[in-house]
Amino acid sequence: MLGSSPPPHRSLQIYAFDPSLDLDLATASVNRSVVNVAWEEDLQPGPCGEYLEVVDIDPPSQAVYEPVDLNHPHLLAQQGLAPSEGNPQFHQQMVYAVAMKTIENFERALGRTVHWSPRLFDERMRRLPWNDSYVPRLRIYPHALREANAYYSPDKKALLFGYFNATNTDSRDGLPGGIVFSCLSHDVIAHETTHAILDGIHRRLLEASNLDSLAFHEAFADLVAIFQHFTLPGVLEHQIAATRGDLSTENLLAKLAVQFGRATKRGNALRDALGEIDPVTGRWIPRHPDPSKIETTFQPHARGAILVAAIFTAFLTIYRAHTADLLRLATDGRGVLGEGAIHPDLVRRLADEASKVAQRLLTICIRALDYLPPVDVTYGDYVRGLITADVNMVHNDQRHYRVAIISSLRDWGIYPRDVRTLSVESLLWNTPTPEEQRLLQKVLPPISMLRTMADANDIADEGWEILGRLGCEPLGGGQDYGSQGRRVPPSLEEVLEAGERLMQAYLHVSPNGLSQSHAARAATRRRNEYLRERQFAWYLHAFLVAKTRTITAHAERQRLSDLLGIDFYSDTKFEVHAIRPAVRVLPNGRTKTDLVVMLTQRTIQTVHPDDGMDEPLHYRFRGGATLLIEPELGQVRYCITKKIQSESRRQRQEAFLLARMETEGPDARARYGLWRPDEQKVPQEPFRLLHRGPEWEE
Amino acid sequence: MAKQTPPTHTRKNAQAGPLLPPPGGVAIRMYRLGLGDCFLLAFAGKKARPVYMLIDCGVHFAQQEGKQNMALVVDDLARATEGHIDLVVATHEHADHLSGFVHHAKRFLNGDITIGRLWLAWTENDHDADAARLRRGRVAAYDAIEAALHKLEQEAADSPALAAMQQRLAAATGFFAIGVNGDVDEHEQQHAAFISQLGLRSSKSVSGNELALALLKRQAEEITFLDAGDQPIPLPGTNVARAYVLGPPRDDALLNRSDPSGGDRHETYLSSAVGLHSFAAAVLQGLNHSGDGREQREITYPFDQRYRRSYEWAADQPFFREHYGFNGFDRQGWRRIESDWLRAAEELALHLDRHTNNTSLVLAIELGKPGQGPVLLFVGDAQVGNWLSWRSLKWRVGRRSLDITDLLGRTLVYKVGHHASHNATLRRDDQGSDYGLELMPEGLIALIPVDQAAASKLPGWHMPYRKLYQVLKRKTRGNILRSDDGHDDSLPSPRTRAARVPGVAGATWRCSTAKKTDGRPLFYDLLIDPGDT
Repeated sequence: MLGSSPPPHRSLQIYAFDPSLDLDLATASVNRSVVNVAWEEDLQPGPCGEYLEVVDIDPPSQAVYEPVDLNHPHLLAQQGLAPSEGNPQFHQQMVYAVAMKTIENFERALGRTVHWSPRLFDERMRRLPWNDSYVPRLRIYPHALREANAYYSPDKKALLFGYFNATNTDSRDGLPGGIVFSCLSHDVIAHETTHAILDGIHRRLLEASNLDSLAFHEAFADLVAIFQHFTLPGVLEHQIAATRGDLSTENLLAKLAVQFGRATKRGNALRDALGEIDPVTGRWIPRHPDPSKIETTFQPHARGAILVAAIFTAFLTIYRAHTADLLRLATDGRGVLGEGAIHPDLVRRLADEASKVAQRLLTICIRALDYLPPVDVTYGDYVRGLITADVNMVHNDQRHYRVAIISSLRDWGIYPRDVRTLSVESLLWNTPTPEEQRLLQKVLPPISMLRTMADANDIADEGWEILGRLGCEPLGGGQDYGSQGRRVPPSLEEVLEAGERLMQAYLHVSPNGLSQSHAARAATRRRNEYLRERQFAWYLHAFLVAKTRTITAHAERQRLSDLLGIDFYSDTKFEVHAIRPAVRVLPNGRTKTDLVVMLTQRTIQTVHPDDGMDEPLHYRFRGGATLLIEPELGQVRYCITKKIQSESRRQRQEAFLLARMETEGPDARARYGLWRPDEQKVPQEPFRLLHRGPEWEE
Repeated sequence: MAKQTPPTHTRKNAQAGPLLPPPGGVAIRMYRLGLGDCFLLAFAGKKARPVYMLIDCGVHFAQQEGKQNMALVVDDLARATEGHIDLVVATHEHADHLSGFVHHAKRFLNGDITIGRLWLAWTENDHDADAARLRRGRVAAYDAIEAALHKLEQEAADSPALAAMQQRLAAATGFFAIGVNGDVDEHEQQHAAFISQLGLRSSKSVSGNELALALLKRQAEEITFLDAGDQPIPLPGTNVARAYVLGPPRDDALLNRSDPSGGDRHETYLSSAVGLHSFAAAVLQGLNHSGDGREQREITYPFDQRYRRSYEWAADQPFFREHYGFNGFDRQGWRRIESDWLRAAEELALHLDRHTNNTSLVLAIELGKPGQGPVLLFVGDAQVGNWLSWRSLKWRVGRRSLDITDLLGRTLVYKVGHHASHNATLRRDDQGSDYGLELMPEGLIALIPVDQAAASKLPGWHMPYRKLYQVLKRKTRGNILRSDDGHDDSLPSPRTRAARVPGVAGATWRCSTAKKTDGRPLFYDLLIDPGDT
């Protein structure tokens, strides 16, 4: 068709929460929602698109369900299939829609494409060649398990959803014995998709090196699910009306997985950011901030719930501040609402504000991910990441988001232990001193190269193919000279020469590429991005190795080790974990692209846990740094370091592991990444989360 | 009164003949089978002949030379009891407590060894409604695990992760199955013969444990099902001892409780009961039980028939061929999920295992004066819930009212539960007060049926649990009898000549001259004379 462009969105129907709310008269009207997800021109049956592939195989029932074709005219004309528990094709549509929405939220906040974590090892734990490790699509199995469970499998790069027969006996909580599908819960889908996205951004977050590691993964996934509730307009207005605008009272927006919770006899949602059911009276009671709780809560979901509650409290504070004027306007200046329902106009305005604040907070939460150390992340690090990220996006905190976040987190006992005060200034990550800056610039690539790295994704879709012709093959994808082909790292001259070729390749747009169709370009876009990142990683690694060798003065070299968190004295390999662009807004409102570089290194340590067995165990101790680089100036804006040479940090990790092993017993080894020296490692499913407690300790 | 025979337990050739107790006391013979319980107790009888009580007779399939040694044990049992066991106690349905009755059923069926009474927990009573309900659940779960294991066998070759899982599952299953790992063939014919002989439903699904219990029930002259809190039961034929029944409890919550409150499942996705119920239904669906009605099966499917397609259908579809693949070696292999759902079988196995442990018949056998004498505590493999349930029990002896604190405080011999694992001996109750082992007195004697080397080869088995072992050593001042050798040199080792147990009045011990296949002693004897304390 001449002149027509593809639509910006595809509209799809979903359950706003889950099927259980369909049966409640109060919520039935809003439980069916329509979401707009990115239009994928080439969407195949499955749905199978650029990011996701839904494959509906059901091994427990030995059945297969036909893939839904969302490009079928009938479905295009009526926003997809109507919500239905009994139609597996609708299930496929819903997981696709909610997962796509979640991806979109991340892409918008981060200003770049979402990539899944690479597949580095095959089933037998053999390392795969770097260009075979790209995983284009997250696999989704809507009916994979027959249990009350759903999880992200880092080995399969897949989400596995379960279904089960409800065990509740009270029919008010749902049909006793009826089938509950976890893939029909918006929250479960958003939660699991977030696990997968987070794994793609920070692979090392899966490793429990401190109390916060696993809790953070859970909290983050819950936060995304909760804040996404606010993007569903019908639901939001309905709940604003129901709570008369006071979102700190019991409401559906703050609850997670209602049907799931009820069907498993909890009598309430799986989790609730605001309150809980009093076990004695059976009534909902709000939870109040308790800074000491963080000291005594170790179970990952429970500890994660504290972070969720803290961020949600910040949301409420901001929301209240932003709507105080509306309430005053609506009440002739009194600011106190009278009895009964509130005016629909007010509902709409309040919903507007709530939605804005929620979207903004979600963005802040996501953007902070670029401002985290590459390993051993704690809640305290996340607080500093939140603040630093926000300062870099919004210069004047006119609406006091940062103050609300800091004070709410503080009320729940979440703050970094290594800052002097809890002011915004002292929470910002440190900027290198001029002397440190000079040292860093000695080992970092030239500005022209840094600019190429930051902008390559925008200027050169075809760079990768050109690169192949130039004969610039990366070695081991940015790490590991020993085991991959070459024994000796390339010389500085070789590296510089390769860099020249890289830059030429990317600054030069292939005429061939322009002739490709939009769809064809989209199909290879993310793969090329991935391969480019690996290529830049290779280059940067070789560059760092060559450059640090030229620094011979002991003090200077040690200083560099301290800055980058990497031991440049030992033979231990290090890895360029990631090179990514990150968008920043300047005070004058213009946007700018920074470069996020993550360097990591690991050592194998031995520990003698008091878990009742007299066996030494191995664990990984990691260090490294996240650098935020301003490519135009070649300056490092922030250097967020976890030193591998830090003996005190190693002792902390060891103490953490010892304490966990002592409390949880020998069953917990796999959970904390400990293994016997003679043990063969086999892939685990960390998210199945089997929490088995120790008996003897009690 | 019968004529008093001279005290023969000090006789030189004491070990060749019957096991004889000291006058007014008891001789405890602990067979050293490794991972497996078998205890023969001889009480001074009202008549000249001692009263023989056998508590369990089994060995774990993973125990090296277990079957060979079991043959020696059964030979000795026949000899030591002169072919008649007055009282058999089967604590619970696990192979490492029952396998001897199956593998040597012939000796019982042909009259080599006869059985007087049989004591079982109420959970084994076919006419008990609670027990029947538990059994139905257990049978379904067991069938499900077996089916899962079978499916895993087909997939395990392609994946080390699955192979490891299958191994763990097999190890866990070994507990309830007599006959996993090759035992079946050897005994299959016998097995079939017994099934008809014992009048059981003729089916392959009769487990070895069921078989053992059926055999005991058939051979025993009298069966008593015991309930916790029953008034102290005099042991038949003797005045020197009586038994207090401590467990298993009737309370479902306690039976299910293998974890302490620290095992927080609340915030996790998986709540065991939920997942496992649906899971079992699914596996059994795959079994195509002929008994199940078509309609009944239909409703267990998640979707109506018109939405379901078969694997064969999918194998012809380009979409599924490209995105899933069905061939073991194609490029999609690493992402297939054919057996991921079976991981729940592991949890089910563990749950079943611990639940069965909690159905252990727990006996406190009191010697000497009622309400005052020393106590022998045989806990089977009772786990947390079973231990906790004892607190609500009260007994009247004469004018006195006794409770568990009193019994624990008088414990002289403790048969350590579950091979001294980390989860079958309590030291505190759920309120945080001292309980269990902490209430037992200093100077007790511990009997641990364990083989550290064999246990270490089983995934997830950590026995003996070091922290428990340290407390046991302190409490017993080192007076521990283990059924393995070479792991703890600091223990005093009994010689073949009876000697006083260091620091314990009225107790002597010795080891057997009879040897296991590895040349180590086949059993230890511990003789308690309450009159001498």
